Formats: sequence, C-alpha cells, structure tokens
Amino acid sequence: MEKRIGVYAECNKNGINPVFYELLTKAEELRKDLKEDYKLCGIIMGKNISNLVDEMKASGVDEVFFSEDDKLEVFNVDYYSAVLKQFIEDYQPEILLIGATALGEELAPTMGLQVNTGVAAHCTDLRINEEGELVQVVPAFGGKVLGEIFTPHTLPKIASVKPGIFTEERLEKKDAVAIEIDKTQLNAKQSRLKVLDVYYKAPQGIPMDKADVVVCGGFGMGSKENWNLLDELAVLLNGAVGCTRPAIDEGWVPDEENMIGTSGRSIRPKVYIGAGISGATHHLCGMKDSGVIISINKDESAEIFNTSDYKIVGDASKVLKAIIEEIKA
Amino acid sequence: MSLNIAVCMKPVPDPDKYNLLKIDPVTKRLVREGIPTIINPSDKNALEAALKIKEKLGGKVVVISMAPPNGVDKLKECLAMGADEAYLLSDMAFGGADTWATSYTLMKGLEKIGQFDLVLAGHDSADGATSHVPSQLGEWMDYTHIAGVQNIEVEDATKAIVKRRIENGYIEYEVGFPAVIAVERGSNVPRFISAMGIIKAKNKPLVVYGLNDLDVDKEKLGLVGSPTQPGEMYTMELKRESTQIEGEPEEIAVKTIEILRKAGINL
Repeated sequence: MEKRIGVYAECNKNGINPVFYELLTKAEELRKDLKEDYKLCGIIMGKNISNLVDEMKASGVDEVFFSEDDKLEVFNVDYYSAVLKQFIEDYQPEILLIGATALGEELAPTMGLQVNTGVAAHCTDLRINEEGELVQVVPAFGGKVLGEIFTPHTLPKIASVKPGIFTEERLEKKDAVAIEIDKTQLNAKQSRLKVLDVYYKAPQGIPMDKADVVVCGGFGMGSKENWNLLDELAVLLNGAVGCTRPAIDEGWVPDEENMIGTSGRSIRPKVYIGAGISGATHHLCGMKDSGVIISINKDESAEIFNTSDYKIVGDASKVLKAIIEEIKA
Repeated sequence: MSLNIAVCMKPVPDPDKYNLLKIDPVTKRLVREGIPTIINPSDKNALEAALKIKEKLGGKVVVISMAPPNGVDKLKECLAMGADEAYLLSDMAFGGADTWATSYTLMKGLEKIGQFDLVLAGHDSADGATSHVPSQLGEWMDYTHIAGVQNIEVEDATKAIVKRRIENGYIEYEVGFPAVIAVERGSNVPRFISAMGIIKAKNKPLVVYGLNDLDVDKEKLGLVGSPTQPGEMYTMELKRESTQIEGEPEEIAVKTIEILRKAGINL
C-alpha cells in the first residue's frame, strides 16, 4: 500500500472551504519532513461536485478521492462518516487533516471513534520530530496552555485545525488522478437525521479574515448605543467588528459569528483595536498574532494591556468617539 | 409519553481565571491553585434544556459526570437546579483519559444507570474544549448524534427538531431518538438555584460508581486506554510592550491614527 497523507475538503454551494488550502500547505510541509515517500491526497464529497474535483486536481495533490451522491447534498454526519471510513479502510492514510469548521468539528471525533484512533483537536501546530513522529500541538484552558499530543499506536493520526491557523501557500500543480470512493458503506448506512432546512445569512461588510483592521468590543462598551461606535469606526477604517463573550450575553451582538477567541475565531489583522475588553485568556489567544495591538480600558490593571503594543487608559466609548471625529475631520 | 433524559456534566476550572494557571517548573504539572471549580458553562445549558423538556413532556433527568471525588459538589448543584438523580463515575483508573476513553466510560456508566431516550451535553468544555465527547458517546451508544446545537424543539418522545450552527448560518435537522445532542453555550438561559432547590436536592439520589461497579474493559480506560498520549506542556507567552498613549481624548485620537498609518492602514 502506498503511504498517504489525506486532507479532507469541506464544501458547500460556495465551493471548497478555504481551510482546505491552509491544511494542504501544512500537509506538504509534513510530507517533505517525513523520511519515506508519501502521497498527498484530497478527499471531497457532496452532490454535483465535478467542478470541485477538478479544482482539487489542480491544487497540488497527487490524488483526489471523491464521492458524489444525493445523500451527500447537505452534511449528515452518518453519511459523511460512512464515506470517510470507507476511504480510510480502502486507502489507509497515515495522517488525516480535517478543518475544524463547525461541521468538521463533528466529523473528526466521529471518525476517530469509528476507526478507533486518536484525534487531536484544534491543533495550532503540526510537525514531524527527529524520531519521525507526528507532533500535534493543541491548546487547552483557552489557549493559556499548549500541549503536545501523540497518536503512537493507531492510524490514521487524525488532527483537526481551525480556519486561519495555518497560512496558505499555493502548491505547484501535479498530474493528479481522481478516484471515486467505493459506496458500499454509504449505501448500507441508515440515518435517523433528516435535513429540514439550510440557512445562510447574507454576508455583511468585510469578512473578518480579510480585514486589515479588526475593532473588537467587550463588556466595557457598556451599552448597545455605544456598540454602534465600533461599527462606525470599522466602516471608516474599512475593517470588521469582533466581539467577546460578554457582548453576546448582553445582547449587543446577535450571535457568536464574530466572537474572537480560542472557542471562536482566531484572527491576525494588521491592527487589532480592543475596546472595553478586560482580556480573558481565550480571547487573547484568539488575537495574539495580530500585527499591532491597541487596547482601551478604564481599568489600568486590565489583563489585555499586557498583551498590547499600545494601551490607552480611559473610557472606551469616549476614546472611540474622539478617533472617529478625528478621522472625519 | 415521558422521556428519560441524561445530561453529561464536567466540573472545570473557572475559565475567567485561566490567566492564573502555571506549570510547575520541577514537576511539569499544571498548577491550578486559586482557581475555583465550576459546572462547565455549556453543560448548564444542556441541563436547562433537559429540565425544559421534562417540564413539557414529563419524565426524568439524571446527571452523569466522570470526575475526581470532589465532583459531587457540582452534581449537588445540578440536583438543586432541578435534576432528579446524579451519578459520579470516579476512580483512579479513569484518570488521564482522552475523549475516546472518556466517552467509553460515560457510555458504560449510562448503561449501568438505565435506558435513555435522550442524552444532552454541552457542546464543549471550557478546559479541553475538543467538543469530541458528545459525538463519540453517540457512536459508542449507537445513538443518533448531533453537535453545535443552538435550539431544540421536542414535540413528542420520538424526535427533536434542532438548529445546528454552521459558519454564517444553520442547518435544521430532525433527530430521531434515541439521540445524543450537544448544545451550545448561550442556547438558553440556565435557571438559578433556589433555596427550595437546595433543600429538595438533599433527598435526591447521588451515587458514586468506581471501577468495580461498572462492566468495563480495563484496557479501554484512562490514560492506558487512550489512543492519544500527552507529551510536553507549556504555557503561552503573550507579553507585549504596552506603551501608554496618554493625553486628552483628542490627543490620543491623533496619536492612534498615526500608529494606524504606520501599520499600513490607509486613512
């Protein structure tokens, strides 16, 4: 059997989730550091995905494994895991990387249990050590602690990685082959999950991961009215607005979509501005890779100041108002 | 048409105090001194969801936890919130388990306690935050399972309608019972514990099971049974310069805009 590193590609009507390319870049790095020869392969499934299979063939992989079926139109963990399990059993990848998207986070552990192997969750680093073993670095306690994880006895070693953790570099295109995954397990699988509806919100403003500036607000913003200042400043700076947990709890933002932190989004804009944020560890770990960190807080001893390049001790909304007026002037 | 519901609960160190965590330079072990233990936040949402379903359809809510012996304190809180029974799985043999071994142990615990139509759990724990256990428990039990749930509607004892978070939206599923459903933090508002709740809790069953009480394969427990093994551990260094920008708001604004320009932001 050929040796393989697999990268799972999640897709929907908008195409392949970009985290695939981030993971592929990392997989290629691992492939180079491994002593033996490994093939790089991509795995994709869905309904009517022939154009995506072609896109993957041009992504720098050696092989594309795909499955097309009506059952795979919308994510159903039973059907998706049946296909992935068939792929694992038939082609025996030694390493399998899965993007820790909302759905990937469910697929990875399900797979780990079905094939009885270990899954390292939300890896922040993956590398091959001198012994040729895969070292998986995972965060715990909101990212305050990082720990190495090994999967010594079972295959594949499954690792999930959140979007935005690794940097994408396009690989050189190879003469990739596309191979259809056998459907025996998919056809046999019964599911008691039934998809009733899929809903996508219309995108608003600049996507967080594309913004050069992220203006992030916390509990210290004090009110919904003051919260609007963040939106106003973000528009002026052509940036995006992020938040911390308390802003969701207070109802100033509708959901967790733009929550920054280890359990939300990890960001690395050129400039991060934190307003009224005290600096809980899981938030700091989600923004620590930003270029310049500026934070504003009334409390001189706020934890966030220790992780800032610049600190402003003062009322966040007053300072934001002044910055907005100065830009407009 | 009543439902037997189990809720998985994990006691965790309070996430608001994680900045106090240290690694002992000699023993290399994590020092969590001064950090109180709380019920994992999204597990409270799971319990709240269970209690609401019970109020609507009738039935029983039991809480299960795999934790060190002091986990009973948090289970008492769950009983005071309104759970009917609580079970702690506690044994040295369970220690050091990864999610594969943890979900195995929980499955064995539930098997010992009874038959459940629905198992609810928090989507992830504040400490390890893998979000693996609910899905893996579902696989062990051969139950339907779904994670990332923001809303549950249970109209009868055969199925739930759930909204499952995805990036920029949701998928709505019908989930046939028996099922494991993992709910997210913020999916409801957990009730407070009342004085009456605390009094009532004193007469509710709280049972501790150890290794010898469960019909388990010892090879599948704890660190020994875990497919993943921990290596080195280190704490994250997050320190930066922290230069203060001083002055009246107007002066601060001018200086801040200067910093933004220097960082390559067009203004």
